[in-house]
Amino acid sequence: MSARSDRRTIVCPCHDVTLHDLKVSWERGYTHPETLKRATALFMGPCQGKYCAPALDDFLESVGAAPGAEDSPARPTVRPPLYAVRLGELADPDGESA
Amino acid sequence: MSAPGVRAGDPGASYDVVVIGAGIQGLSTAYELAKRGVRRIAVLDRAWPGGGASGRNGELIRSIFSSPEWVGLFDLSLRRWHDLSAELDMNVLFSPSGYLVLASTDEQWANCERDHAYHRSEGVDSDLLSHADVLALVPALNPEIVRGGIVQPSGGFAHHDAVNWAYLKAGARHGVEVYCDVTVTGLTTAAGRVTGVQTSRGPIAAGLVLNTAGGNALDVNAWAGITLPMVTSRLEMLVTEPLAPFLRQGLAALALLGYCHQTARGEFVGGTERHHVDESRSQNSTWDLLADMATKWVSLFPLLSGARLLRHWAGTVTQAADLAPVIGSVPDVDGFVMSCGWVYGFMGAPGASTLLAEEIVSGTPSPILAPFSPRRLVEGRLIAESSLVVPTGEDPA
Repeated sequence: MSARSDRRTIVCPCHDVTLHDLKVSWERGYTHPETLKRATALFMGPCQGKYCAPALDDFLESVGAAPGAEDSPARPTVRPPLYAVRLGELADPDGESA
Repeated sequence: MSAPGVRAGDPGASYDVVVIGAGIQGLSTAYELAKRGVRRIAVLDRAWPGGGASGRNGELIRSIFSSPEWVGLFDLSLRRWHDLSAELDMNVLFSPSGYLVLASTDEQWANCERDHAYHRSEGVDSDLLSHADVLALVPALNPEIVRGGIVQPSGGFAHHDAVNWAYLKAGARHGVEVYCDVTVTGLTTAAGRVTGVQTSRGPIAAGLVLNTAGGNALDVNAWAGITLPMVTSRLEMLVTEPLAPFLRQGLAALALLGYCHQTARGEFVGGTERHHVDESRSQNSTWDLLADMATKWVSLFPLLSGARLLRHWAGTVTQAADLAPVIGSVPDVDGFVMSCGWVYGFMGAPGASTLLAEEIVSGTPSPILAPFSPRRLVEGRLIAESSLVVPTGEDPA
């Protein structure tokens, strides 16, 4: 794909990250899934990484760093919750921590 | 390679200085050493740069503490923060938007008044705030939890990933060699002297080994035969979805054992502690702390009740009983220096690394670092600092 279409290809709708952003970060040297996450904000939006994960897999495969290769983790560590939850629903005003 | 500045390939067989751990302490101290002319420095990390507490912390920055030891070190650090982006030639996203220490009880308020008087005498900028002043500054606060406070206008917060990367790249420009996916498995010693490290890629000789291994620092000390009264513990944080701006300052809420800020993107980021030290090396987050954080933050900022939690994580630190860093060498173990025991390590790193590098290069002890020496733990001379929001293991007052 051309650079022009890369700039229009959204891999993370939560943070408006494009395929171009992903490629630039990779070329700059953010080549570990954990550093790539922090450089681009992939996996850090309200979808909890559900949308960007397959796009990252495809990208890694395209640059010859297929998921599961060597001992490199294919994706950043999953962090809870699986679905965004309102803090008010988690608060426990009568609990031990009150 | 895993971040710009990290080297591909294997480390060499010998260096003047080998730094264990590519967190903010290791990267900043390596940079400061290289800046002072030390060549042949290697920084080794088993994972990625900033992968431990340096990329998991609360990002807060202040120097309004209560003790001369803490104020001395952290005020120097705060001044370094103000120049850091320019010096490292990378925007570390430092927001000098103020740091508010919130008092909820009469006792905490009395401490704020006392601390404020001390800050004025030392030329540290801080303003004492009444109940009404605090609410005027941060109207979103629950007034029932506000007794008063103290704010440092020049304090604030920065973005931890940006800071780690900035030190990494600046160090690399000065010739520092950073290698990731290299696990240090032991030290080599000869005649009471540390002479190098053993790693997953083979042995490396070193004129000086620097222990900046964060949550794993006690293992490294143990390899050197050093046992200090310190523990490894877990701290946890959360981040919400972006919200309209409601909090400009970094904030420490003493009564909640909590600290928080709102990022430029609008996310609320905060962590709390409970009254016991969570002795653990796990980086898994826990339900108990999630409930604790949600309960406390919703009580402090009622508007957060409707905010959606995006992520929750944990990191590990090593800590002494006084929660102050442990910096320097110990008698009878030559060739080995530690900068560990950091709980406020993110805000303290720019200052501590500057002084530690000066001390190593000049051989002259720094009077500001001296109180933080490992010797204090052996001799039982703990630093009394009353303005911290991390549990000391004592029961709640």
